[in-house]
Amino acid sequence: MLSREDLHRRLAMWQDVENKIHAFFQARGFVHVRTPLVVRAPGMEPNLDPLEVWVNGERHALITSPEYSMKKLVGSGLEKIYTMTPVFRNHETGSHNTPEFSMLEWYAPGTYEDLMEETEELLQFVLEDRSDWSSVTYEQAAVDEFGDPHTDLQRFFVTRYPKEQASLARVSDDGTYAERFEAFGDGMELCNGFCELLDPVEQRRRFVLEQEERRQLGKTVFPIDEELLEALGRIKGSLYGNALGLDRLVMLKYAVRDIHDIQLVDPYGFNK
Amino acid sequence: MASTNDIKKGTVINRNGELWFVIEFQRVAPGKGSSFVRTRMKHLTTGKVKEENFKSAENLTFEDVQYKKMQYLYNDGNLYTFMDNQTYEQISIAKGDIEEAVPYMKEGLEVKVVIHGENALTIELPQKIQYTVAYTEPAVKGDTSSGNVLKDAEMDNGLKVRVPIFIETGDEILVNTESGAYTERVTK
Repeated sequence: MLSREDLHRRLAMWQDVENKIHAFFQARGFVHVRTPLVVRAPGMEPNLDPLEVWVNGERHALITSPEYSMKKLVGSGLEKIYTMTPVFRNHETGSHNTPEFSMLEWYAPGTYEDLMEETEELLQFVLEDRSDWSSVTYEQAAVDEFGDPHTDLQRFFVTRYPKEQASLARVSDDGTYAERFEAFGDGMELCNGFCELLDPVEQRRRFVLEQEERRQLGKTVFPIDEELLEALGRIKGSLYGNALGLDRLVMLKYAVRDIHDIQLVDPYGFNK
Repeated sequence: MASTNDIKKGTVINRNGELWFVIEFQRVAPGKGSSFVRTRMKHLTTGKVKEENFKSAENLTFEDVQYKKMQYLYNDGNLYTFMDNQTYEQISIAKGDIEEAVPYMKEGLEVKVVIHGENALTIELPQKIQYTVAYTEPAVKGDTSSGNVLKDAEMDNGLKVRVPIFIETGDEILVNTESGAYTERVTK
């Protein structure tokens, strides 16, 4: 077990980051929301392995991201929302990954460019470091087929993802790239931001393709979240959203290199 | 020939005659294209760490190595000697082959010796090792406020680690051997 002092020390790092996030978003008129953890339709991305749970004899899963619920809240009329929530992804273990981790997500009306600016301001505010985050395109960053950028930069944004990697992002008006960016800091992928796809027909088409890919990979095929599609159809104008790994932000700020060294409770008793 | 599907933590991969030890791996199936395995590997002799991704279809050569739990006894200049607690067999390894591990060595430390054929190649350290703080300056009152204020400390084996200010001389702490960083104080 952690000593009292270590617990306080780790807790102080989390509290600092969480308090600054609340302050940042509340000053900008965002509302803090809670979203369900157990759902029937989790993230459909073929590369994710949701942890499955059975509820009253029916297959459910723990969320891999609060994204679907967040968009439903926007569809029901909330404009600017943020949440900090546990998320779960199976088969993710390492010094930057644990199967259960924390995610900050926020959504607001606006463009891809607005979101990048806001993300930079958030990072500068939370990290208490005013230095600029440079922006490089997917091509300039020489992102390899595995999604890893190859650049000497320490803290940077990778912009203009190929449209084949759009996921839930909109394709730009000229049709050449996906309105998606990622931030990287000290070798860690920090966040994935989109100008969100709001076309329910196109979204259904992508979900069906993803279901087929999951089937081919031998993974569980989850149902399409019809309520999400309905919510997308109700959203007017343009919506941006960002998903940021909270644990990694704490690690970045306090220069901790192993995600296990910021946990308040060791869920598996690895230290024994 | 082996396949990327067989990669595990501790697998030793032969890349053009150089032996790499897999520290960490993650199977990834991207939305598009074939799946792959993301690894962090350590060069068995130089200790250099690199990340490499292997495609599913790639053929790899694994080296058959064995791991033997042994205890560190002493060093005699250039040679570090370890003993099997069951058989009392002793093995010596040159300092150059365990360069990265040298600062962490302390008498009685239990390590895994990596054996390839007849040769002891190197050692694997536990992920966390416990040390006694031999010396650290007492904390200055008033600087305990924020998250992660650190100060210098020297362990009983000479290892230097940055520790939180509440740590005192004589405390037992755990050090993460991969990052070289303080993990936590051992509760008494």
